[in-house]
Amino acid sequence: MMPMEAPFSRIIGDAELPPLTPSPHIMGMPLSVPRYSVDDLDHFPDDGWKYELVDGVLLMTPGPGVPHEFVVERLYRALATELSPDAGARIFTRGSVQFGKFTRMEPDLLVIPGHYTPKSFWDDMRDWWLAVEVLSPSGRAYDMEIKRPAYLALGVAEVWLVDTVALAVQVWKSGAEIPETVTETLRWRPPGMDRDLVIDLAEVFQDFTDFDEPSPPTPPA
Amino acid sequence: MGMPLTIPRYTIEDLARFPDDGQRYELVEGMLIVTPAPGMVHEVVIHRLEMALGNFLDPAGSAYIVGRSEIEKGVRTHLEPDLLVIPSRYRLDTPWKRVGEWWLAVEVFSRSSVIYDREIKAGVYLKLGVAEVWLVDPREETIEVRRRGEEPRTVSDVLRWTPPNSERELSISLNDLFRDFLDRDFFDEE
Repeated sequence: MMPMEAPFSRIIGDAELPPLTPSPHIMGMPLSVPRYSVDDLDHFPDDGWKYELVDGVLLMTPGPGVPHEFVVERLYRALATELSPDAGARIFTRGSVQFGKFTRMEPDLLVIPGHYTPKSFWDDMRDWWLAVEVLSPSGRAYDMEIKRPAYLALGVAEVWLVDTVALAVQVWKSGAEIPETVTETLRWRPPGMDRDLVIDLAEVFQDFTDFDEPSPPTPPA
Repeated sequence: MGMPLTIPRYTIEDLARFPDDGQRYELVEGMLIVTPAPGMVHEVVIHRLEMALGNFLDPAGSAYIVGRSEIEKGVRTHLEPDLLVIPSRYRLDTPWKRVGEWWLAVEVFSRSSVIYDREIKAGVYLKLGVAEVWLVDPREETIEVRRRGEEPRTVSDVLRWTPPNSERELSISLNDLFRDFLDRDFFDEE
């Protein structure tokens, strides 16, 4: 996996030289990245892409592919089997983790305590139990490097990063410095439950072995 | 309750540890922008623009047109325009980060890049000193031309461009550029 901390104090070996000739352009204006609010997101196109914000910074990722949805569906079923509302939890595939006006993330699966009702608002919620992200090629860097730390900083108790290439789940618990990488049996004790919830990853990743083998080209009709 | 959020900021050196997986990884002041590999429409439009620019610029020898290039500023800004035109006074072994004059940067929208291109990258190019930016929209069959200090203008018939220090004008017919794009259905598959 990629290290999570960007090195900030690196010594730069090749310091910038002045341009070859004096540039005719005005240089050195500070660059800025536009900052958006959750209200702005409502004006973005409804085009199947996922638009999220972390402290105003826009993360834009394509809609999910079939492999991604298979894994989400399998995990949902595994979780939902044991996490009925009676057990004190709710599980969403289209939930939002929202905080203030500048942060809204949409995990692939979100588990919240059962005391919320259909009249609750996303930005009322503060005690998220679990956020799951199934890594995709274009969303991978955002999930691992930006959203995962943001979930934990906001107080999400646990984050799972599901890697369908490595066939593993990285489990990040609130307060832990490093993740636990699980490849066989994923165990999770939701708050208030007296036993572990057990997920067999062989079932979750069924048919994903050798997924990266290129498929043969389609001959012309 | 959680801690304040911080967005990771990266340096150009950090980009080396991102996977070589076809995604485009760029940085603006350390902020990461990831866009998926483009589709065929995108590549065809770039090819046609490159041909038009090449036919116009190559005989004079005053500029290079590059398809895979980098615009870098400091250690935290690294952008990869779809096409870039730089004056040929730069030696061919000049590292990208020593290039300080850019005549034209072109971005062709794909569904994945439109917001980043229009809202973030175009403005950054101009601030860095790129003389002109074209934002090519294959769906709308238009090109938005941006120049520093000028209102953006949208061209839908003929795009005209005069390179710096030149009196010759290039004109590109958008009908030509977007020919055979009439069947819009394929955009839905993109």
